[in-house]
Amino acid sequence: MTSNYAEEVINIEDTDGSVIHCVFNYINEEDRPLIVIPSQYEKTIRTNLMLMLYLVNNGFNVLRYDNRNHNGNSTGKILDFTLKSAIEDLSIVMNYVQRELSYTKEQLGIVGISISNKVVMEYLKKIENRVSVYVSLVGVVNMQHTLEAIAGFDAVKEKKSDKEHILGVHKLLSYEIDWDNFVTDMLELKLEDVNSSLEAVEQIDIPVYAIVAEKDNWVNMDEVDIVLKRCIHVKGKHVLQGATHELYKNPESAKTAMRQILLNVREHWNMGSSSLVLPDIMDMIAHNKEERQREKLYMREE
Amino acid sequence: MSGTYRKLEKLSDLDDLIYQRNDNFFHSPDEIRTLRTKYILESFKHHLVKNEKYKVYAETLGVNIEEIQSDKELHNIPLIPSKLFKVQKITGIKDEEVAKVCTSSGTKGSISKVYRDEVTLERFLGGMQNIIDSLLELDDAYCVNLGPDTEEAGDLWFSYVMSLISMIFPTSNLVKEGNFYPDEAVKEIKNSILKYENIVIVGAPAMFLELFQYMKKSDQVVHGCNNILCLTAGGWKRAQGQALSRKELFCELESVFHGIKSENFRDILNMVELNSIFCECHKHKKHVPIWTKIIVLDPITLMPVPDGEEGILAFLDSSAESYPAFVLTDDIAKMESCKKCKCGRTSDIVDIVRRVKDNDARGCALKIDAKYCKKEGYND
Repeated sequence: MTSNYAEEVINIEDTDGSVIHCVFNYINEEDRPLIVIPSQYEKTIRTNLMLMLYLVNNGFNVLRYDNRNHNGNSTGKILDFTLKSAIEDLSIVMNYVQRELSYTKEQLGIVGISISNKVVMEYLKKIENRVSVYVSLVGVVNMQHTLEAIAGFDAVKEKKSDKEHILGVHKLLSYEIDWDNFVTDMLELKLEDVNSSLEAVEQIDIPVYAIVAEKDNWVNMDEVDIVLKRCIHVKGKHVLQGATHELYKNPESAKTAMRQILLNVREHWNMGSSSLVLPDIMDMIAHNKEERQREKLYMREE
Repeated sequence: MSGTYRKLEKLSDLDDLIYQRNDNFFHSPDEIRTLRTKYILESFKHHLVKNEKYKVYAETLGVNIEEIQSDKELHNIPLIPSKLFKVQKITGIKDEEVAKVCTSSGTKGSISKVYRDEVTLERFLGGMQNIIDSLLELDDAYCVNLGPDTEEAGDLWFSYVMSLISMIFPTSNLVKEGNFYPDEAVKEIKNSILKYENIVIVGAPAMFLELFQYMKKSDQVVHGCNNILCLTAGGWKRAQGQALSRKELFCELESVFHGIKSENFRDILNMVELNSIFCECHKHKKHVPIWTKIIVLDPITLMPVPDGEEGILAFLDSSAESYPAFVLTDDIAKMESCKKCKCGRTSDIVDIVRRVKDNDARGCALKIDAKYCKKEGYND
């Protein structure tokens, strides 16, 4: 059974009037670290419900948010999703939690899942953005490879060889995106290949924990190895044996991953070794109802 | 991968199959037989170790696990008559390990109780997601559930299963505090039809009929329904005893949901003792997932009958850990074993014909009907 925690919906308004929808879950105790969880591609705040429950029940505050130009309750549609906008979202959210919620960098951690790993690494490479700890879960390190593995064609290669080539609007996983917009933006930011991850990780001088899936069908593990070897502050590398990339469909491996994330951040903040409170499927089902209700309440009519 | 990673808990092969594989309906018949035999025998061994009553039962029947080696010998696994779940606590777990006590409708006064632990419930949910992904192939969908939410569904398995769809899709539940709101259902459908790629309406057949009758009475139609998928479950009899015609119900729905396709009118089979769902493909065949085997037995000899012949339905579901899901049901069924369907999938295909006793009709739909549907104004 999960313990009590409070919840606050925060809609951060950007200068252009667009809104980043966040959900802040916290326990009423002082000086608790805050873990920020950006939504992974295609997913929403609700997808990371179980991770939030794991963290909040073990002494952490959590802030989850929906990216703009994405699924969820922030402004914009997933059709217009770009990495640039996701990086800006993270930056705005991190500024907000420091400015408005008074968290210091030493109290902040980020969990980056799947494609969000690219977003977080890009954010963290700037000195002024450093937080206390970063945990990467099934992190994507080479967008070109991952996009090809998912979509079945090499969009990056096609665009690189001919800028005028029209990739069009079609699905990336379950939703349509504007591929020209998405890939062009990625190429402009030079985020398309493993080199960008190597460059980023060299500049990240905070503790990094990485949890990878042994049978990740969308991420090349040799490339993950190379990236992690380049990262001088890797504090832990763990592999989910037998798991593939889509952990949200796989509760067994997801639980293992969440337990490990919890152990990592507890270790980082020296939060002792008292026994862990591990929410179960019934907690998840009960809280899912509340999450769905909130999702509906804050749904944007656009 | 370099060897410097600390290894975390390994996912079992069965969990890999249930949670991660998207090719479960695309194996050859031989592969299906090999895989399910492996998992069902592992499950059988597990229950012999964990469940003392079941072990004694197997010993009493003189069943020796060593003598069961192949798919065609799996029918020798001791089956538990579904009625036993009404009178015995059939579980191998401790009380504190029970995540949910799942109950049948108990329309005849006796309620089956199935004790599910976390692993069993997670596998049910994971299997449901896998089967929905594999057979319905929906990406962006919104679900209108003509039933209650998980909380109101309580322990009643049928309603609970229907409500669990909210774990997969955004869902509105149209039974609230015991009342069905067809007006809200129509509003939800109209509001979401242009917003989502697919609309899924789920419910007992009687609830669909109730919805149709409300729409007809209030002179409402919905246009552009080619993206609506109707999922029925729970049986095709009304509380008053009369059978519901599937064909007629579809015709009626077609008259109010303009453009709805008959291939999108699908039925799902589940029972409280079964830890999987059997969902229809667009050719209206109910496919059995690879981790479960169904057997149709001669009512007298309890030996398997040839494909296509009627007999008593039994199933061996390897996904349940907290109780042996090796069950002899009260249903008369026909099956085709490891059949390549016209839809392209290969699996056991099951067709429920009727209940063993006519006066003991499928309870879940009856309970839903009696509880939520209006008793006047039906002309079926």
